[in-house]
Amino acid sequence: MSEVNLHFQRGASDGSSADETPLAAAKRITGLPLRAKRTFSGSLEQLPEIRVFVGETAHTLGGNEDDAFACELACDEAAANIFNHAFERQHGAIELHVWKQDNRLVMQLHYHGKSFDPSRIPEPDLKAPLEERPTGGLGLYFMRQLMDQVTFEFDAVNGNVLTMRRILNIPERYGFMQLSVERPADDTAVIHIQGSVDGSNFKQLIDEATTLHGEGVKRIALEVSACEYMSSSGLVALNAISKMLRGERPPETENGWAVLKTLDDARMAVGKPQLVLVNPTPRVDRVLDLAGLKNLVPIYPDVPSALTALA
Amino acid sequence: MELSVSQEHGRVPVTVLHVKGNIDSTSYQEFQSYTENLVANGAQDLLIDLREVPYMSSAGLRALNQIYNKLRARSEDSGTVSKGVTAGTYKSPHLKLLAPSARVLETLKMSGFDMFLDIQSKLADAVASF
Repeated sequence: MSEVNLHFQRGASDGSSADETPLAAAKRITGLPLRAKRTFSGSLEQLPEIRVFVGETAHTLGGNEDDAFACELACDEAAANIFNHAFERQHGAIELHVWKQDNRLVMQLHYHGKSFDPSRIPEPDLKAPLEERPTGGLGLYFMRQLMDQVTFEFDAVNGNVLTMRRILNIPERYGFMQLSVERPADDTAVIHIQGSVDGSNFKQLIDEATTLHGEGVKRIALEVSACEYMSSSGLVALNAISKMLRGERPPETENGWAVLKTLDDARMAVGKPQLVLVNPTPRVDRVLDLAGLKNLVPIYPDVPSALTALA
Repeated sequence: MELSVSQEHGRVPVTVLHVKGNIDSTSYQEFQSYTENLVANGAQDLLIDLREVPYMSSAGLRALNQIYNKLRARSEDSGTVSKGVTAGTYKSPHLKLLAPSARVLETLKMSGFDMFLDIQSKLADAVASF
Protein backbone atom coordinates (compact mmCIF):
# COMPACT_ATOMS: atom_id res chain seq x y z
CA MET A 1 0.00 0.00 0.00
CA SER A 2 2.39 2.67 -1.07
CA GLU A 3 1.16 5.98 -2.35
CA VAL A 4 -1.30 5.61 -5.12
CA ASN A 5 -1.68 9.25 -5.79
CA LEU A 6 1.16 11.65 -5.27
CA HIS A 7 -0.96 14.70 -5.71
CA PHE A 8 -3.44 15.36 -3.01
CA GLN A 9 -6.75 15.82 -4.73
CA ARG A 10 -8.20 18.73 -2.96
CA GLY A 11 -11.93 18.69 -3.29
CA ALA A 12 -12.07 15.10 -4.37
CA SER A 13 -12.26 13.52 -0.97
CA ASP A 14 -12.94 16.00 1.78
CA GLY A 15 -15.72 18.02 0.29
CA SER A 16 -13.74 21.18 -0.24
CA SER A 17 -13.91 23.12 -3.47
CA ALA A 18 -11.04 23.00 -5.91
CA ASP A 19 -10.07 26.64 -5.56
CA GLU A 20 -10.01 26.62 -1.79
CA THR A 21 -6.60 27.27 -0.27
CA PRO A 22 -5.22 24.75 2.17
CA LEU A 23 -5.53 27.12 5.11
CA ALA A 24 -9.06 28.09 4.13
CA ALA A 25 -9.87 24.42 3.95
CA ALA A 26 -8.40 24.00 7.39
CA LYS A 27 -10.58 26.84 8.70
CA ARG A 28 -13.65 25.36 7.10
CA ILE A 29 -13.12 21.87 8.40
CA THR A 30 -12.31 22.90 11.92
CA GLY A 31 -15.19 22.06 14.15
CA LEU A 32 -16.38 19.02 12.29
CA PRO A 33 -16.92 16.06 14.56
CA LEU A 34 -14.18 13.51 15.10
CA ARG A 35 -11.52 16.04 14.42
CA ALA A 36 -8.68 17.23 16.53
CA LYS A 37 -6.57 20.29 15.89
CA ARG A 38 -3.67 21.76 17.73
CA THR A 39 -0.94 24.22 16.88
CA PHE A 40 2.59 23.44 17.95
CA SER A 41 4.84 26.48 18.05
CA GLY A 42 8.54 26.36 18.61
CA SER A 43 11.03 23.83 17.41
CA LEU A 44 12.13 20.24 17.89
CA GLU A 45 11.27 20.31 21.60
CA GLN A 46 7.63 20.05 20.46
CA LEU A 47 8.08 16.51 19.16
CA PRO A 48 7.22 14.59 22.33
CA GLU A 49 3.97 16.58 22.69
CA ILE A 50 3.15 16.04 19.05
CA ARG A 51 3.55 12.29 19.49
CA VAL A 52 1.30 12.23 22.55
CA PHE A 53 -1.35 14.28 20.78
CA VAL A 54 -1.30 12.12 17.67
CA GLY A 55 -1.21 8.85 19.58
CA GLU A 56 -4.12 9.80 21.80
CA THR A 57 -6.16 11.12 18.90
CA ALA A 58 -5.53 7.98 16.86
CA HIS A 59 -6.86 5.93 19.76
CA THR A 60 -9.85 8.20 20.21
CA LEU A 61 -10.69 7.86 16.53
CA GLY A 62 -10.70 4.08 16.80
CA GLY A 63 -7.20 3.11 15.75
CA ASN A 64 -5.49 0.14 17.35
CA GLU A 65 -2.06 0.12 19.03
CA ASP A 66 -0.24 -0.39 15.73
CA ASP A 67 -2.12 2.48 14.13
CA ALA A 68 -1.35 4.78 17.02
CA PHE A 69 2.34 3.92 16.91
CA ALA A 70 2.52 4.28 13.13
CA CYS A 71 0.84 7.69 13.32
CA GLU A 72 3.11 8.86 16.15
CA LEU A 73 6.27 7.84 14.37
CA ALA A 74 5.19 9.16 10.96
CA CYS A 75 4.10 12.49 12.42
CA ASP A 76 7.29 12.75 14.47
CA GLU A 77 9.37 12.25 11.33
CA ALA A 78 7.25 14.73 9.38
CA ALA A 79 7.41 17.39 12.07
CA ALA A 80 11.15 16.87 12.63
CA ASN A 81 11.73 17.43 8.92
CA ILE A 82 9.62 20.58 8.98
CA PHE A 83 11.39 22.00 12.05
CA ASN A 84 14.82 21.13 10.64
CA HIS A 85 14.38 21.95 6.98
CA ALA A 86 11.27 24.04 6.30
CA PHE A 87 11.90 26.30 9.31
CA GLU A 88 15.66 25.91 8.97
CA ARG A 89 15.92 25.39 12.71
CA GLN A 90 14.24 28.72 13.44
CA HIS A 91 11.05 28.74 15.45
CA GLY A 92 7.87 28.11 13.55
CA ALA A 93 4.33 26.85 13.94
CA ILE A 94 2.76 23.64 12.72
CA GLU A 95 -1.00 23.42 12.75
CA LEU A 96 -1.83 19.78 13.06
CA HIS A 97 -5.23 18.39 12.11
CA VAL A 98 -6.22 14.80 12.71
CA TRP A 99 -9.52 13.34 11.64
CA LYS A 100 -11.17 10.21 10.40
CA GLN A 101 -12.51 9.84 6.93
CA ASP A 102 -14.24 6.54 6.23
CA ASN A 103 -11.83 3.91 7.50
CA ARG A 104 -8.79 6.17 7.23
CA LEU A 105 -7.06 8.32 9.72
CA VAL A 106 -5.92 11.56 8.15
CA MET A 107 -3.17 13.75 9.55
CA GLN A 108 -2.60 17.11 8.02
CA LEU A 109 0.26 19.43 8.88
CA HIS A 110 -0.14 23.06 7.84
CA TYR A 111 2.90 25.29 7.98
CA HIS A 112 4.77 28.08 6.24
CA GLY A 113 8.35 27.58 5.21
CA LYS A 114 10.79 26.25 2.70
CA SER A 115 9.46 23.80 0.18
CA PHE A 116 11.29 20.84 -1.28
CA ASP A 117 10.82 18.29 -4.02
CA PRO A 118 9.92 14.96 -2.41
CA SER A 119 10.79 13.13 -5.61
CA ARG A 120 14.37 14.33 -5.24
CA ILE A 121 14.81 12.73 -1.84
CA PRO A 122 16.41 9.41 -2.66
CA GLU A 123 15.33 6.17 -1.06
CA PRO A 124 17.87 5.21 1.57
CA ASP A 125 20.45 3.13 -0.26
CA LEU A 126 21.33 0.07 1.73
CA LYS A 127 23.55 -1.22 -1.03
CA ALA A 128 25.99 1.53 -0.24
CA PRO A 129 28.75 0.48 2.12
CA LEU A 130 27.56 1.17 5.63
CA GLU A 131 30.15 3.85 6.18
CA GLU A 132 29.05 5.75 3.08
CA ARG A 133 25.34 5.79 3.60
CA PRO A 134 23.76 9.16 3.28
CA THR A 135 22.12 10.12 6.51
CA GLY A 136 19.10 11.81 5.00
CA GLY A 137 15.88 10.45 3.63
CA LEU A 138 15.19 7.93 6.34
CA GLY A 139 12.43 10.02 7.90
CA LEU A 140 10.52 10.40 4.64
CA TYR A 141 11.05 6.71 3.98
CA PHE A 142 9.47 5.89 7.35
CA MET A 143 6.51 8.14 6.63
CA ARG A 144 5.88 6.32 3.38
CA GLN A 145 6.29 2.92 4.97
CA LEU A 146 3.95 3.67 7.84
CA MET A 147 1.25 5.54 5.96
CA ASP A 148 -0.83 4.44 3.03
CA GLN A 149 -0.61 7.80 1.35
CA VAL A 150 1.72 10.76 1.77
CA THR A 151 1.19 13.94 -0.22
CA PHE A 152 2.78 17.37 -0.20
CA GLU A 153 1.36 20.65 -1.40
CA PHE A 154 3.57 23.69 -1.39
CA ASP A 155 2.26 27.22 -1.47
CA ALA A 156 4.57 30.06 -0.58
CA VAL A 157 1.65 32.41 0.07
CA ASN A 158 -1.04 30.35 1.73
CA GLY A 159 1.21 27.81 3.34
CA ASN A 160 2.25 24.23 2.80
CA VAL A 161 0.16 21.17 3.56
CA LEU A 162 1.45 17.71 4.24
CA THR A 163 -1.28 15.07 4.30
CA MET A 164 -0.80 11.52 5.51
CA ARG A 165 -3.45 8.84 5.46
CA ARG A 166 -3.54 5.41 6.98
CA ILE A 167 -6.23 2.76 6.84
CA LEU A 168 -7.13 1.85 10.42
CA ASN A 169 -7.51 -1.53 12.01
CA ILE A 170 -6.14 -3.83 9.38
CA PRO A 171 -5.79 -6.86 11.65
CA GLU A 172 -2.74 -8.40 10.03
CA ARG A 173 -1.27 -5.59 8.06
CA TYR A 174 1.67 -7.65 7.00
CA GLY A 175 0.17 -11.13 7.02
CA PHE A 176 -1.98 -11.00 3.90
CA MET A 177 -0.78 -12.51 0.65
CA GLN A 178 -2.66 -13.24 -2.52
CA LEU A 179 -1.20 -15.11 -5.48
CA SER A 180 -2.47 -15.22 -9.02
CA VAL A 181 -0.84 -17.17 -11.83
CA GLU A 182 -0.56 -16.68 -15.57
CA ARG A 183 0.88 -19.23 -17.97
CA PRO A 184 2.20 -17.40 -21.05
CA ALA A 185 3.87 -20.66 -22.19
CA ASP A 186 3.77 -24.30 -21.15
CA ASP A 187 7.06 -24.06 -19.32
CA THR A 188 6.69 -20.49 -18.11
CA ALA A 189 4.60 -18.95 -15.35
CA VAL A 190 4.07 -15.47 -14.02
CA ILE A 191 3.10 -15.38 -10.36
CA HIS A 192 1.61 -12.09 -9.23
CA ILE A 193 2.15 -11.54 -5.53
CA GLN A 194 -0.09 -9.12 -3.69
CA GLY A 195 0.26 -8.21 -0.04
CA SER A 196 3.25 -9.33 1.93
CA VAL A 197 5.47 -12.36 2.03
CA ASP A 198 6.50 -13.18 5.55
CA GLY A 199 6.99 -16.04 7.98
CA SER A 200 3.27 -16.76 8.12
CA ASN A 201 2.80 -17.43 4.42
CA PHE A 202 6.08 -17.93 2.55
CA LYS A 203 5.49 -21.69 2.34
CA GLN A 204 2.31 -21.00 0.41
CA LEU A 205 4.44 -19.29 -2.22
CA ILE A 206 6.85 -22.24 -2.34
CA ASP A 207 3.87 -24.62 -2.61
CA GLU A 208 2.44 -22.68 -5.53
CA ALA A 209 5.77 -22.80 -7.35
CA THR A 210 6.15 -26.50 -6.54
CA THR A 211 2.74 -27.23 -8.04
CA LEU A 212 3.66 -25.31 -11.20
CA HIS A 213 6.98 -27.11 -11.37
CA GLY A 214 5.10 -30.38 -11.18
CA GLU A 215 3.05 -29.25 -14.18
CA GLY A 216 6.21 -28.70 -16.22
CA VAL A 217 7.01 -25.08 -15.47
CA LYS A 218 10.75 -24.41 -15.71
CA ARG A 219 10.80 -20.62 -15.62
CA ILE A 220 9.01 -18.26 -13.29
CA ALA A 221 8.62 -14.51 -13.18
CA LEU A 222 7.51 -13.26 -9.78
CA GLU A 223 5.62 -10.05 -10.37
CA VAL A 224 5.87 -8.17 -7.08
CA SER A 225 4.74 -4.64 -7.85
CA ALA A 226 1.86 -5.05 -5.37
CA CYS A 227 3.96 -6.85 -2.78
CA GLU A 228 4.36 -4.31 -0.01
CA TYR A 229 6.61 -6.24 2.23
CA MET A 230 9.01 -9.12 2.09
CA SER A 231 10.67 -10.47 5.18
CA SER A 232 13.68 -12.76 5.31
CA SER A 233 11.21 -15.64 4.97
CA GLY A 234 10.30 -14.28 1.56
CA LEU A 235 13.96 -14.41 0.61
CA VAL A 236 14.10 -18.00 1.79
CA ALA A 237 11.17 -18.73 -0.52
CA LEU A 238 13.00 -17.13 -3.46
CA ASN A 239 16.01 -19.29 -2.80
CA ALA A 240 13.94 -22.45 -2.47
CA ILE A 241 12.10 -21.77 -5.74
CA SER A 242 15.32 -20.93 -7.53
CA LYS A 243 16.89 -24.23 -6.45
CA MET A 244 13.83 -26.20 -7.38
CA LEU A 245 13.78 -24.73 -10.90
CA ARG A 246 17.41 -25.71 -11.31
CA GLY A 247 16.48 -29.24 -10.44
CA GLU A 248 18.07 -29.24 -7.04
CA ARG A 249 16.53 -30.37 -3.83
CA PRO A 250 15.01 -27.35 -2.15
CA PRO A 251 16.63 -26.48 1.16
CA GLU A 252 14.94 -27.13 4.45
CA THR A 253 12.99 -23.96 4.96
CA GLU A 254 13.04 -24.51 8.71
CA ASN A 255 16.65 -23.49 8.64
CA GLY A 256 15.51 -20.00 7.75
CA TRP A 257 18.24 -17.56 6.96
CA ALA A 258 20.93 -20.18 7.07
CA VAL A 259 19.70 -21.70 3.80
CA LEU A 260 20.68 -18.52 2.02
CA LYS A 261 24.23 -19.61 2.63
CA THR A 262 23.62 -22.30 0.07
CA LEU A 263 23.10 -19.75 -2.68
CA ASP A 264 25.65 -20.37 -5.34
CA ASP A 265 26.57 -17.01 -6.82
CA ALA A 266 28.56 -18.32 -9.75
CA ARG A 267 25.92 -20.72 -10.96
CA MET A 268 23.22 -18.13 -10.71
CA ALA A 269 25.28 -15.74 -12.76
CA VAL A 270 25.84 -17.98 -15.77
CA GLY A 271 23.27 -19.13 -18.29
CA LYS A 272 19.72 -18.02 -18.67
CA PRO A 273 17.87 -17.09 -15.52
CA GLN A 274 15.03 -19.37 -14.50
CA LEU A 275 13.65 -17.12 -11.80
CA VAL A 276 13.25 -13.38 -12.18
CA LEU A 277 11.51 -10.62 -10.28
CA VAL A 278 9.33 -7.98 -11.84
CA ASN A 279 9.01 -4.42 -10.59
CA PRO A 280 9.66 -4.64 -6.84
CA THR A 281 8.56 -1.71 -4.69
CA PRO A 282 11.38 0.38 -3.22
CA ARG A 283 10.79 -1.30 0.10
CA VAL A 284 11.11 -4.84 -1.25
CA ASP A 285 13.99 -3.72 -3.42
CA ARG A 286 15.83 -2.64 -0.30
CA VAL A 287 15.36 -5.98 1.37
CA LEU A 288 16.72 -7.72 -1.74
CA ASP A 289 19.61 -5.30 -1.84
CA LEU A 290 20.44 -5.71 1.77
CA ALA A 291 20.48 -9.47 1.47
CA GLY A 292 22.63 -9.31 -1.65
CA LEU A 293 19.93 -11.07 -3.65
CA LYS A 294 19.68 -8.46 -6.35
CA ASN A 295 22.74 -9.85 -8.04
CA LEU A 296 21.36 -13.35 -7.90
CA VAL A 297 17.75 -12.98 -8.96
CA PRO A 298 17.56 -10.62 -11.94
CA ILE A 299 15.01 -7.82 -11.79
CA TYR A 300 12.99 -6.53 -14.71
CA PRO A 301 10.72 -3.48 -14.88
CA ASP A 302 7.78 -5.25 -16.50
CA VAL A 303 6.43 -8.66 -17.41
CA PRO A 304 7.23 -8.51 -21.16
CA SER A 305 10.92 -7.77 -20.57
CA ALA A 306 11.03 -10.49 -17.91
CA LEU A 307 9.51 -13.01 -20.32
CA THR A 308 12.02 -12.06 -23.00
CA ALA A 309 14.84 -12.69 -20.54
CA LEU A 310 13.38 -16.05 -19.56
CA ALA A 311 12.57 -17.26 -23.08
CA MET B 1 17.34 11.51 28.43
CA GLU B 2 19.57 9.92 31.04
CA LEU B 3 22.80 8.23 30.05
CA SER B 4 25.02 6.16 32.29
CA VAL B 5 27.82 3.67 31.81
CA SER B 6 28.88 0.46 33.45
CA GLN B 7 31.74 -1.88 32.69
CA GLU B 8 31.20 -5.59 32.27
CA HIS B 9 33.76 -8.30 31.71
CA GLY B 10 33.22 -11.11 29.27
CA ARG B 11 36.02 -12.39 27.08
CA VAL B 12 36.75 -8.75 26.50
CA PRO B 13 35.88 -5.65 28.50
CA VAL B 14 32.43 -4.48 27.48
CA THR B 15 31.20 -0.93 27.92
CA VAL B 16 27.49 -0.88 28.63
CA LEU B 17 25.68 2.35 27.88
CA HIS B 18 22.35 2.54 29.69
CA VAL B 19 19.91 4.85 27.98
CA LYS B 20 16.77 6.06 29.70
CA GLY B 21 14.25 7.99 27.63
CA ASN B 22 13.28 8.42 24.02
CA ILE B 23 15.85 8.72 21.25
CA ASP B 24 14.36 11.16 18.76
CA SER B 25 15.33 14.34 16.94
CA THR B 26 15.45 16.23 20.22
CA SER B 27 17.82 13.84 21.96
CA TYR B 28 19.90 11.90 19.44
CA GLN B 29 22.74 14.40 19.40
CA GLU B 30 23.24 14.01 23.12
CA PHE B 31 23.13 10.25 22.70
CA GLN B 32 25.49 10.25 19.74
CA SER B 33 28.09 12.62 21.14
CA TYR B 34 28.07 10.84 24.51
CA THR B 35 28.65 7.53 22.77
CA GLU B 36 31.30 8.88 20.45
CA ASN B 37 33.07 10.19 23.52
CA LEU B 38 33.10 6.71 24.97
CA VAL B 39 34.67 5.41 21.77
CA ALA B 40 37.19 8.25 21.69
CA ASN B 41 38.14 7.34 25.24
CA GLY B 42 38.92 3.77 24.36
CA ALA B 43 35.66 1.80 24.41
CA GLN B 44 36.00 -0.86 21.72
CA ASP B 45 33.08 -3.11 22.50
CA LEU B 46 29.86 -1.36 23.21
CA LEU B 47 26.52 -2.67 24.35
CA ILE B 48 23.68 -0.19 24.23
CA ASP B 49 21.09 -1.00 26.83
CA LEU B 50 17.72 -0.05 25.36
CA ARG B 51 15.56 -1.56 28.08
CA GLU B 52 14.37 1.88 29.16
CA VAL B 53 13.98 3.39 25.72
CA PRO B 54 10.26 3.38 24.89
CA TYR B 55 10.66 5.06 21.51
CA MET B 56 13.19 5.65 18.78
CA SER B 57 12.78 7.58 15.53
CA SER B 58 15.00 7.65 12.44
CA ALA B 59 17.20 10.18 14.22
CA GLY B 60 18.19 7.45 16.66
CA LEU B 61 18.96 5.11 13.80
CA ARG B 62 21.21 7.65 12.17
CA ALA B 63 23.08 7.96 15.45
CA LEU B 64 23.43 4.18 15.68
CA ASN B 65 24.72 4.10 12.11
CA GLN B 66 27.38 6.67 12.97
CA ILE B 67 28.41 4.80 16.10
CA TYR B 68 28.50 1.51 14.21
CA ASN B 69 30.83 3.04 11.64
CA LYS B 70 33.13 4.35 14.35
CA LEU B 71 33.38 0.91 15.93
CA ARG B 72 33.82 -1.15 12.80
CA ALA B 73 36.89 -3.30 12.79
CA ARG B 74 39.42 -2.43 10.15
CA SER B 75 39.35 -6.01 8.98
CA GLU B 76 35.64 -5.81 8.15
CA ASP B 77 35.29 -4.77 4.57
CA SER B 78 31.90 -4.09 3.01
CA GLY B 79 32.01 -7.22 0.88
CA THR B 80 32.50 -9.48 3.88
CA VAL B 81 29.74 -7.76 5.78
CA SER B 82 27.39 -7.95 2.81
CA LYS B 83 28.05 -11.66 2.36
CA GLY B 84 27.51 -12.25 6.05
CA VAL B 85 24.23 -10.39 5.98
CA THR B 86 23.16 -12.52 3.01
CA ALA B 87 24.06 -15.67 4.86
CA GLY B 88 22.29 -14.53 7.99
CA THR B 89 25.52 -15.06 9.87
CA TYR B 90 26.70 -11.49 10.25
CA LYS B 91 26.51 -10.01 13.71
CA SER B 92 28.00 -6.61 14.35
CA PRO B 93 30.99 -7.62 16.50
CA HIS B 94 31.64 -4.40 18.37
CA LEU B 95 28.24 -2.75 18.71
CA LYS B 96 25.27 -4.62 20.09
CA LEU B 97 21.86 -3.67 21.34
CA LEU B 98 20.22 -4.96 24.48
CA ALA B 99 16.51 -5.64 24.76
CA PRO B 100 14.81 -3.05 22.58
CA SER B 101 11.08 -2.59 23.21
CA ALA B 102 8.64 -3.95 20.63
CA ARG B 103 8.26 -0.46 19.15
CA VAL B 104 11.96 0.19 18.95
CA LEU B 105 12.46 -3.24 17.41
CA GLU B 106 9.83 -2.39 14.80
CA THR B 107 11.77 0.74 13.89
CA LEU B 108 14.99 -1.27 13.64
CA LYS B 109 13.28 -3.81 11.40
CA MET B 110 11.60 -1.28 9.17
CA SER B 111 14.95 0.26 8.38
CA GLY B 112 16.70 -3.08 7.98
CA PHE B 113 19.08 -2.24 10.82
CA ASP B 114 18.18 -5.51 12.55
CA MET B 115 19.96 -7.33 9.77
CA PHE B 116 23.39 -6.08 10.69
CA LEU B 117 23.11 -5.01 14.32
CA ASP B 118 23.33 -7.83 16.82
CA ILE B 119 20.29 -7.61 19.10
CA GLN B 120 20.49 -9.48 22.40
CA SER B 121 17.78 -9.97 24.96
CA LYS B 122 19.76 -10.75 28.14
CA LEU B 123 22.59 -8.74 29.63
CA ALA B 124 24.77 -11.73 30.58
CA ASP B 125 24.39 -13.33 27.14
CA ALA B 126 25.04 -10.03 25.46
CA VAL B 127 28.26 -9.47 27.40
CA ALA B 128 29.41 -13.03 26.75
CA SER B 129 28.75 -12.64 23.02
CA PHE B 130 31.50 -10.09 22.48
